[in-house]
Amino acid sequence: MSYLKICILCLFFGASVWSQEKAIVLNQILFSESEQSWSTRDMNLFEKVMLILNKKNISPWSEGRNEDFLLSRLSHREALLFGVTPEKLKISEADRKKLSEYSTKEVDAELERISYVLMFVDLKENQLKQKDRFVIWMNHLKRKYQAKIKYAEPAA
Amino acid sequence: MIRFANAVDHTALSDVYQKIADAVLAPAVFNWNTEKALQELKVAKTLVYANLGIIVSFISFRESAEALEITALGTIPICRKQGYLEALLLQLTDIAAQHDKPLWLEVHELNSAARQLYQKWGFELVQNRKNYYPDGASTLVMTRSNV
Repeated sequence: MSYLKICILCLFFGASVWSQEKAIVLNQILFSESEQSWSTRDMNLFEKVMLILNKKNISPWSEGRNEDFLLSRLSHREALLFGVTPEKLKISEADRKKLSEYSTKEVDAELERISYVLMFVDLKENQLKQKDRFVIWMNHLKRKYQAKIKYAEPAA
Repeated sequence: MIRFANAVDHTALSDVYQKIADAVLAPAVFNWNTEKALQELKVAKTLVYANLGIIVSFISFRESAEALEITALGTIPICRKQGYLEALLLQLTDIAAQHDKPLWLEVHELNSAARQLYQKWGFELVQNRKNYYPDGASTLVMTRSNV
């Protein structure tokens, strides 16, 4: 094989590996629960909407961004079972433009999810009052909805 | 799920009570101050309705020789009109029947919404105690027999 061919092959494989890594970084699966999987793309939408709503997190007791996102998905399922319909949160058209990489349907679904979750977690948190009881509840949710975590969890 | 409250539930019940108190539009007809109410929740027997581990509604009562007296009750505002309190009352009615005693409660004469609800649940007015409250209003004693 000529030196030129080897160079071309190296460039080809290098580019291919790079693009694979890039794809994983762009949309990595963070966790799955029951039959759904949630990726970094979903988390980005969640975080952008939370930022627009001026909400720092779902719960101050969440251990970091990943857990807060996980909490938003697991507690949404509980909130739906709870049977109370919260007032739906809304954002302006200008804010919607900041989320242009997502469809209107995706943004609306995220807003609705966050509306439910904030209502439900607020009730729960106020009754739990202590972080250790919150951790027990979070572990219960992970078991109940068979959450399979694919990101590195913070050390206990 | 309906169950009796225990000591662990006290913080949750305090929160439920606070949410109910915060939503009262006419404080004059709400004669419990927070401190007194929390004390009552500690000493009375309390039935709670817990939905997914969240206490959404409660009824506190005391048993005397003559009756079971309801001393406090309520539902978190956003969880109202879903039948939680009614389910608790039905449970308490069963307990009263087991003890062969009627249910009693008192209500501020101007609290017409509560009076209507109690009447709907089969409570009847039996006594009017005048100048009972600090604002000079009467308390209406209502009772519900086991029949």
